[in-house]
Amino acid sequence: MASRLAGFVVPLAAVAGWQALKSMGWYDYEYLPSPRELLTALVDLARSGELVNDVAHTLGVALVAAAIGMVVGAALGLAVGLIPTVRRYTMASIDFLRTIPAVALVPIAVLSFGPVRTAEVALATYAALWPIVLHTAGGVAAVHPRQYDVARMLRLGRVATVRKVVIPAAVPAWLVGARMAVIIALLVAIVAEMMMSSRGLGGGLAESMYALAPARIWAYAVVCGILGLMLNAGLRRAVRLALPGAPAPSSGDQPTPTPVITALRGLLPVAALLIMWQLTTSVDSLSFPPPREWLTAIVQMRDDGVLFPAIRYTLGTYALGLVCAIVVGGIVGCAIGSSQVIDRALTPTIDFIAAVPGAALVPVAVLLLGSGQLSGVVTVALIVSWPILLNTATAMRSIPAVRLEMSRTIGLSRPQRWGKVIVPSLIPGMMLGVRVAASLAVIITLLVDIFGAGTGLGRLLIESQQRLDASAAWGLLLIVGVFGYLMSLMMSRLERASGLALGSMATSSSRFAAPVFIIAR
Amino acid sequence: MNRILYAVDSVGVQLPGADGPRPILHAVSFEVRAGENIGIVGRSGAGKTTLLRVLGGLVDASNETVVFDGEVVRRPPSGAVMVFQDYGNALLPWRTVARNTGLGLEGRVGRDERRRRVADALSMVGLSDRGSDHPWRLSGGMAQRVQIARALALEPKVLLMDEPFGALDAITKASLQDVLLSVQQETGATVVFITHDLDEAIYLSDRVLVISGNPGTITVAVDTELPRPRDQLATRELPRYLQVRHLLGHALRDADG
Repeated sequence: MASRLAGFVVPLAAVAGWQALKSMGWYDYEYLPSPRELLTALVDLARSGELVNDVAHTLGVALVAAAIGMVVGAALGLAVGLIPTVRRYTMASIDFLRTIPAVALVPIAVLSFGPVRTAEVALATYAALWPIVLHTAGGVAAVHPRQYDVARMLRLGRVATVRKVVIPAAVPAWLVGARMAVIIALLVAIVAEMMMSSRGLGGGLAESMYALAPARIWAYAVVCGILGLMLNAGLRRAVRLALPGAPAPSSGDQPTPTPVITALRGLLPVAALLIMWQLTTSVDSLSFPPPREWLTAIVQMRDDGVLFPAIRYTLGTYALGLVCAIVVGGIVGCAIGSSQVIDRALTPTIDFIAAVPGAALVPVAVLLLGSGQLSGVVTVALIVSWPILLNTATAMRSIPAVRLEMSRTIGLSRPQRWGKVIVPSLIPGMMLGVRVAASLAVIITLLVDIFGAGTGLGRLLIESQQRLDASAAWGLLLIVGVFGYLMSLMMSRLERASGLALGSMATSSSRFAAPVFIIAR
Repeated sequence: MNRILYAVDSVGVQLPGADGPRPILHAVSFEVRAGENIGIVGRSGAGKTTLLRVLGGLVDASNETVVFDGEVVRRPPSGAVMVFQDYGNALLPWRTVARNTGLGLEGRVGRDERRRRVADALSMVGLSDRGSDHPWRLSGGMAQRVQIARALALEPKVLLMDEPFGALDAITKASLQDVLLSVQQETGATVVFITHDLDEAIYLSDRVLVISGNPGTITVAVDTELPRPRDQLATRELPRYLQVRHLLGHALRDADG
C-alpha cells in the first residue's frame, strides 16, 4: 500500500507546488497556466459540450480505422504469412509503405478527400493496417512445424489446416497487432486533425494554439493523455481476457534485412503501382498527379532554393533530438531501473506522460519553448525520450541477478561493472526503445516545423497543402517516405548487429523482437 | 594441520521477508582449512545458498563473525570466488569463452599475463580449443567449465560453488566432478560447495556439513576419511563410503521428519 501511495505523492506534490508557485506570484510565465487555470479550462470545455464532441470524434475515427485495419490486415497478413511467393514479393514494399510518416500523408489525404472525416479515417486506417499485417504474418510464420506434422498425420486438408491450425495459432499475434493498431490510429487521428480540421482533439489543440490559449492547450493535452492511458489499459486487459494465461507474444514486425536483389524484388509491387499510375492518370489530375509530375515538383523546389535547406534543417532537428533523447532517456531509465524507491515514486507519472500521444504534446512544447531550431530539438528530445526511458528501465530491472553477483564475486570495480556488464546488458532493450523513438521522432520533427514556424520539410508539406499543390505534396511524401524507410532499415540493421555482437542469437531470434510502433510499454 | 582459511563463528542471518525480517541462519559455526573440500547438503530452503553467499561476501551476516584469511568479510573478499549454478546468466553472452575467462583479470594484470592465465585455466578444464567460441555454442557442461576456468584464472584461495553441477545430466556431472578434483589437486585450491546430491557431496568432500532446521543450522558434520585420488567406481564401492552415506542419509531423513 505504501508503495502505491508513493507513486501518487510525486505528481500531487508537483501539481501542488506548481499551483503554489503561481499563486504566490513567484513566477509569471503566461504560457504555463497554473493547475487551477487548467482545471477551469477543462471544466469550461466539458460544460460547453466541446470536449465530449471532440473525444467522440477522435475516438470514433480511431476505432473505425482500427476495425477496418483488423479485417483487411488479417487477410493480408494471412496471405503474406502463408504463401512464400507473396511474402517474397511484398515484404519490402510493406516495409516501405508502413514507414511513411502519417504527417507526410495528410496533405495528400486532404487534397483527395477534402478536410473531412473520411480523410481522417483513411489516414488512420493506413497507419493501423501495417502492425496488424505484420503481426498476423509473424504469427502465421511462427506456427511450429510440429503442428503441421500433426495436421498431416490427422489427414486435414489445406483449408482445414488453415482453419484449425494456422488461424488459431495466429490469433494471439493478431490481437497484439490490433492493440497497437488502436493506439497508432489514435495518434494519427490526432495528427490529422491538428493539420486539417477544427474537429476532434487534434483540431481543438491546433485551434487553441492559434488562439494562444495556453490553458486550453494544456487541457486538451491532458485529455489526450487520459484517453491514451485508458485505451492502453483497456486494450491490455481485453487482450489478456481474450488470451487467458498466454503471455502476449510479439512477432516479426521489423524489416528483415535481406540481400539487395531480394529487397528489389520485394519492391516490385510499389514500382508496378507507380508505373501504372504514370500511364493511367492525366497530368492535370488535381489529387493524383502522375509520378513524373512529382519529380518536376521536386526539381522546382530545388530550383527555388527551398528544398535542400529544408532537408538540412529537418535532418538536423531530427538527429540532434534523437541523440539527446537517447542520452537523457538512457540515463534516467538507468536511474529508475536501478532504484526501487525512484521506480515506485516516478513510474505512475511516467506511465501517464508516456501514454499521451506524442503529437498532442507538440503544441504544448512549442508554446513553452518558443520557435527556432534549438527549441525544436528540445521538443523532439522531450517527446521521444519516453520509449527509450521506459525500455531502458525495463532492461535494467531484468538484468539477471546472477550476472551482477558474478561481477562482484570476481572483483570488478564499479566502473568496470557498468562498462563491461551492465551497459552491454542494457543495449538490446535500449535499442528497442530507440527504434520506437526513431519512428516517432520523424512525425514529431515534421509537426514541430508546422506548429513552431520551423523551416524544414514539415513547413514545405503544409504549404503544399495550403497551395493545393498535389505534385509537391506527393514529391515531399516520396522524400519523407524514403527517409523513413532508410531510417527504419538502419535501425533494424543496428539492432541485428548489436544482437549478434551481444550473442542474443541463442536466446531469441531478433526477427521476433517486440513491436516497433508501440508508444507506451 | 593446514592453516584456517574460513572461521565462521555462530553466524546468524536475517533477510527481509513479507512480514518483516525473517531469520534464515542461526548459530552456524565451522572452520575451513586450506586445501579442504567441504560439501554442504540440506533440503531446499534450509539456507545453504545464503550461507555460501555469506562466505562470498554477497550477503551481510548480522554479526561480524565470518573471518576469511584473517579479515572480517564485509564485501566479496579477493581470494574467494563464487561459481553459480545458473551458468546461462553467469557468463556474458557477448564475450567469447576466452574473454569471459579473462573478465576478472582485466585492468589488474598485463595483457601477456592475462593471456597466460586464461590459457592455463582453460587447459585445466579441458577447453583449450574453445577459447574463441561464444557461450551459446557450448553445452551446459562446457559452459559450467568456463565458469570454473574464470574463477581459476583469478588464482583464488577458495572456490565457492552453488550447486555447480545441479543443472547437468548424470554423465556430464560425473566427468565434471573429476575435472574439479583434478583441478583442485593441481592448484591446491580450497572448495566449498553446495549440493542436493548426497553422493556428490561424499565423493568430492573431505567433510560434509548438513544444514537443517528453520532457521537453518549445522546439525551434523562428518569427515569422509576417503582416500585420494578418488575414482567414480572404486571410491563409491568402499565400505567407508557406504558408512558415511548411511550416516548422512539418516541425518537428512531425521531433518525431514
